[in-house]
Amino acid sequence: MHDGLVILDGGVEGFPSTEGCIRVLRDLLAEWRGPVEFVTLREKKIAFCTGCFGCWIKTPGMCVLRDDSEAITRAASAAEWMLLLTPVVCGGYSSVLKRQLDRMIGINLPFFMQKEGETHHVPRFARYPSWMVVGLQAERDEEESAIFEELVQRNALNVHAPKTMVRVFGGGDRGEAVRDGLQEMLRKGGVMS
Amino acid sequence: MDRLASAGWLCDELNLPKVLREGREPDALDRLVASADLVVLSFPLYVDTAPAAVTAWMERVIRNRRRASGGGRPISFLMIVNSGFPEARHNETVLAIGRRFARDAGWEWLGGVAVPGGGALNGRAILPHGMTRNLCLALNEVADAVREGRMIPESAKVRLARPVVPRRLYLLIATMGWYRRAWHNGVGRLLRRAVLPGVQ
Repeated sequence: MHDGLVILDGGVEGFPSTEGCIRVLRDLLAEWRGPVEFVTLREKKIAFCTGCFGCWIKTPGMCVLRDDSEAITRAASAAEWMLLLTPVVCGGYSSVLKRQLDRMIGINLPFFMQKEGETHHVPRFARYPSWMVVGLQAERDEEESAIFEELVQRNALNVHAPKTMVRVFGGGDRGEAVRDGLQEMLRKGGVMS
Repeated sequence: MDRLASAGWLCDELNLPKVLREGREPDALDRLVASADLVVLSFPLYVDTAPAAVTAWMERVIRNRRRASGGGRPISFLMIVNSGFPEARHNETVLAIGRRFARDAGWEWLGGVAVPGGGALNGRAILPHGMTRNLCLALNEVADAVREGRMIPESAKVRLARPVVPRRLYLLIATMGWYRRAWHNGVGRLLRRAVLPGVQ
């Protein structure tokens, strides 16, 4: 059964901190009765993907490397929603978040299909989590934000996310604006009423 | 690199994941990059963007620049992305990220090129004849532009974006390859398994 929310905290040193958003999310979700799991990725042991394709042709569906990534992948794949929280790095994700995402390609099959006029991988499972993605910028930057949103949409297409929401908070967004934005996102996702 | 070396350039090549995995002295990598006139970043597309090791390196370069409060010698930057999908447009987002990285690093962006259908190359040498002829000509164009300090010409980008093998044939061969390798590993019957422990 697909249930609950898994939050992947991709905070990394030297870039806008995710700690404030995590505090707000914990507060907003305190009353929620569904399962929620917070994963601080920088504290986990997650090796770089080696590109061996073992997750397709040796241990189909799971990475051959055995570390913390396995449990995270399993939990995220079983959730109804996955929330990715990351500083925006040149329009992309943090390396910490990317390590985990790279290790999850086994959730698709190696085979191909056409989707929106392009080649993509065939889904492995009958259901996938929907995506909420929150990006943090030191200062509001529309060009970088547009690249980030494009990346999220492309990823969501590849991982067959039924629904996708993406929100970028810039340096000028503080306190209540961030709280309101996150609350709106959770409400739209049906996680909060 | 061969074309640049033959023109007298000194070229160093590093495997980023290997350097980061082995925990080699990161300052040495920083010094090597800082002493370069040109940095060429070449990588396979992972989940629509650069692999985590590449992103980690980009973060490091940006943090270093901030600590140094800008400045530093002028460095040119070129990105080459190789992806498994047959359409070059899968790489557009990461090329935009590359352009943005060059700006944040204070480097000169020479451009980025995408090589789709990378599975057809599979490590083979890029020669001026046979199925890699087009690629070879385009990469020579790129090297010549770099040597002369020019932006990567559109003609090279267009040439590189052409698949080496027709799309349908490429996908057919790739699919057969997955089956072959899975059966060789004894997991042919599990290849399409859709139920994993803890995930339904």
